[in-house]
Amino acid sequence: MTAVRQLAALQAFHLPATMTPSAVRTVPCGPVAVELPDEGAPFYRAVVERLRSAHTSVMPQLTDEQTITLLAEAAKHWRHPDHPARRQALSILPTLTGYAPRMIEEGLDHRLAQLTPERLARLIDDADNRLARQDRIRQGPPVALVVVAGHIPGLAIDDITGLLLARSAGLIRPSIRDPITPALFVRTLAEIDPRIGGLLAVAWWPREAGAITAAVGAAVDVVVASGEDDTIIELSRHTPRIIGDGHRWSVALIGAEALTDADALAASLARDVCWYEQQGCLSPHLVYVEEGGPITPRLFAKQMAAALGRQAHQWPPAAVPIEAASAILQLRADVEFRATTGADFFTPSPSISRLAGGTVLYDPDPAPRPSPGYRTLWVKPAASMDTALDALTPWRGRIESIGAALSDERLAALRPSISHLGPSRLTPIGTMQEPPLRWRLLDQGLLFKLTTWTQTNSATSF
Amino acid sequence: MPSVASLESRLLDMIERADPTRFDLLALEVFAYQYAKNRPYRLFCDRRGLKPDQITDWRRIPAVPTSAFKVADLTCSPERPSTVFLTSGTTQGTERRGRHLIADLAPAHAAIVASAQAHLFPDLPLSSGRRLLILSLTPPPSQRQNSSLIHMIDLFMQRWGAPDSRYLGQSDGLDGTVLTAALDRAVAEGQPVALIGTTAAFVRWFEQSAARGWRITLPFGSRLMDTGGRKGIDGLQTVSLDAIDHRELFLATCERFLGLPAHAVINEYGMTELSCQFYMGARAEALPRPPMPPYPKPIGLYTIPPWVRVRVIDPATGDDVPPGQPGLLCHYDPANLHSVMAVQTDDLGMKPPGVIDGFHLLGRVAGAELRGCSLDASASLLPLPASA
Repeated sequence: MTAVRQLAALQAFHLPATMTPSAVRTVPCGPVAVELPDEGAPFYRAVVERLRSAHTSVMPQLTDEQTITLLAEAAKHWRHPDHPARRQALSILPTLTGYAPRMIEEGLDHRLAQLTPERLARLIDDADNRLARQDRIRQGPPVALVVVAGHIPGLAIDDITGLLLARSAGLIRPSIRDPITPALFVRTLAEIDPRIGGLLAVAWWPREAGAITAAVGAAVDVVVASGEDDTIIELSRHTPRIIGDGHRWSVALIGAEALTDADALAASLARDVCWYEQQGCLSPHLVYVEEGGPITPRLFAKQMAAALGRQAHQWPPAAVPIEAASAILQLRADVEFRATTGADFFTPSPSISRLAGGTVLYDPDPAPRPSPGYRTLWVKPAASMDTALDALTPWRGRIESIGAALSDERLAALRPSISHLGPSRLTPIGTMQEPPLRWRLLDQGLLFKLTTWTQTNSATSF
Repeated sequence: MPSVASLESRLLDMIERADPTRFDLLALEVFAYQYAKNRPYRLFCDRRGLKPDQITDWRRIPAVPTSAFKVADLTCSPERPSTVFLTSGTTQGTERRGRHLIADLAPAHAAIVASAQAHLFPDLPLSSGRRLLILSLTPPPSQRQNSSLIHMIDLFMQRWGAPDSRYLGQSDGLDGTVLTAALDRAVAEGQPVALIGTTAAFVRWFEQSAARGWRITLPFGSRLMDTGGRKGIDGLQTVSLDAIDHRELFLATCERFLGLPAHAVINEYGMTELSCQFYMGARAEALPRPPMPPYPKPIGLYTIPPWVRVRVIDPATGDDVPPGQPGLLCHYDPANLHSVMAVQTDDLGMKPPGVIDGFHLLGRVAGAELRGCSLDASASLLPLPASA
């Protein structure tokens, strides 16, 4: 009760200077109460117009150097353990998301570590060079609506960075599972440079408030949406100008030669699996393990289960929602009753009647299957990496990231086949969930998509 | 261990007498039999370290998730049984279908008849010899040999059906005009009728009836049994479809088109993997609603047959959830004598506080694949002829 009172009425919105909502709603949100604007569509239309006006007056005066300095300064503040906004965010997010506190903190620090002057300057240079080759310049739409995905705390920091580097103003609708970080971060930016406070707004409204979504969708120049397919489909009902990818999965590939230190490899992959309880698009759902190495794929699956158990000591697992728990129960039975085919499942805990800690589903059937998440991983043996890549063909275009444990020579040889599947990222196992900012902005292409929209008048649509 | 003949005899007697007091002991004996004779199930139990001599409470009998029925032959019979009921598949179409191998139909038949007598035909004791015109909206058994639903309806027709009882559905759907004509005739003759079909089929037929401005008042003593809920009808976009979200509105629609009072409309919840059925009378009780808005509202209380037990569990722990909380339904059906008695579903349910012989069905957990008899029993209607 005391904690709630201390943190009560946390303002989970930020509006351009001089704009205040006529009414504020206080709603319970995990361990705290948050304040949200209690407004209708006309108010949000006015917010967008105010952003558009600020874009006209402020953006021409804002240099890249100033933007870089601003972002780096804000990140530096946030990396300090005693920074009030960071402490507020970290005190609330574990309850809101269910994720382990240390996991959230490591994820936030990784994100903030990207925002150094050197990295940002290099990112801008690379972006400008790539755009110049297409006779384009780095200029996004005047005002964008950014709808942030629900499952990754702090993700909005990347999107805010993308907006500012694209020289766009934006209204950010946070996720209900992290309604506070975007407002807190924008407030930090505005404290450093008050002009930024006019370029960015943060406000949440429920999905059911279709009138607001429709009004904002019509008023902005483009909508950027990450998240589930139905989120994007719902948004596309309100605006044709939408940038979104829909839900994608990630997979891992392990070559026989990488199994010489299988324990370490399993530990690295376990970390990738446990990040955000597999709720993000960078989470591996399955791993193909090549046969012919020092240990069998089946033994590796067992080692994975043990590694998930060890990782649980670092990052205690979240409570498994009933939908996922039911799916995991059914999948365990699916493989267990196919034992004659070699299928099986392994758990970190000897008590298999409880789900906590994770499940490794070992299945010789090569067809890819998504996992229900919450530390559930398919392990599939593969006679060769070519076999594995062939099996992944049905997922072509839906794979976000591929984590690989392969020798340099084999990786070079397989690169064309991997590229054919269309992942936006190829990275070593153990780093799948810690992408650099340049992945989100350049490789996944948020910056280019914003720029493309403006200059060709056609968004990359889902 | 008692002989299987003795076990079956006592099971049939328990069903016939509707005696709930015999369940505890019989369930343990059925488990011992299934453990001994059903190899895949035995391996499942062994892995959990649970053997018959270690279990004294039926709640600890390991429950097999329904997905196992898709991949394993769960039977106590040394030979593959001749009767195989198949689940209806999924919206994906290519998924494997669950199969329930039935080595001996007697327990299932006893369960079907006892429940139907209690809930669907309480006014027609079998001993009376009185019969009723039964019209099924499904295809006949000859076109759906592996449908447990149609097998059940066929048994209804054998036990309670008047000579003119028949199936009106075909493999490609139901011709609504045939049904309409049959009902017009029943009304003209003053003959009560029992309409049986999937909820989806009724909804589609009501839509056609609304388009044609057709409605009727069935003779006193008529009744309707629907099953399957929303399954297979999500593609429809009409106003009447919204009604299916609310049992009350479905009941109102039955009254509007058929003149059936609410107490004459009965919903059945069954599964291919089970031998028992759960019936819900028409009146939606004013019971506490579950505190989970994402799920559909409960539409009433399903009655648990006296020879069956149902747990509502937290799948993360396997423990029972407190009354009033939603969880997964786990059924213990001894009439599954020669397959597996304990079946873990992915159906979401809730037992209201103070209720031991009933549960609310809240739907399937989000993300669970669509399946069930509605899909198989041909919910679709043939297009109306141009002259209609």
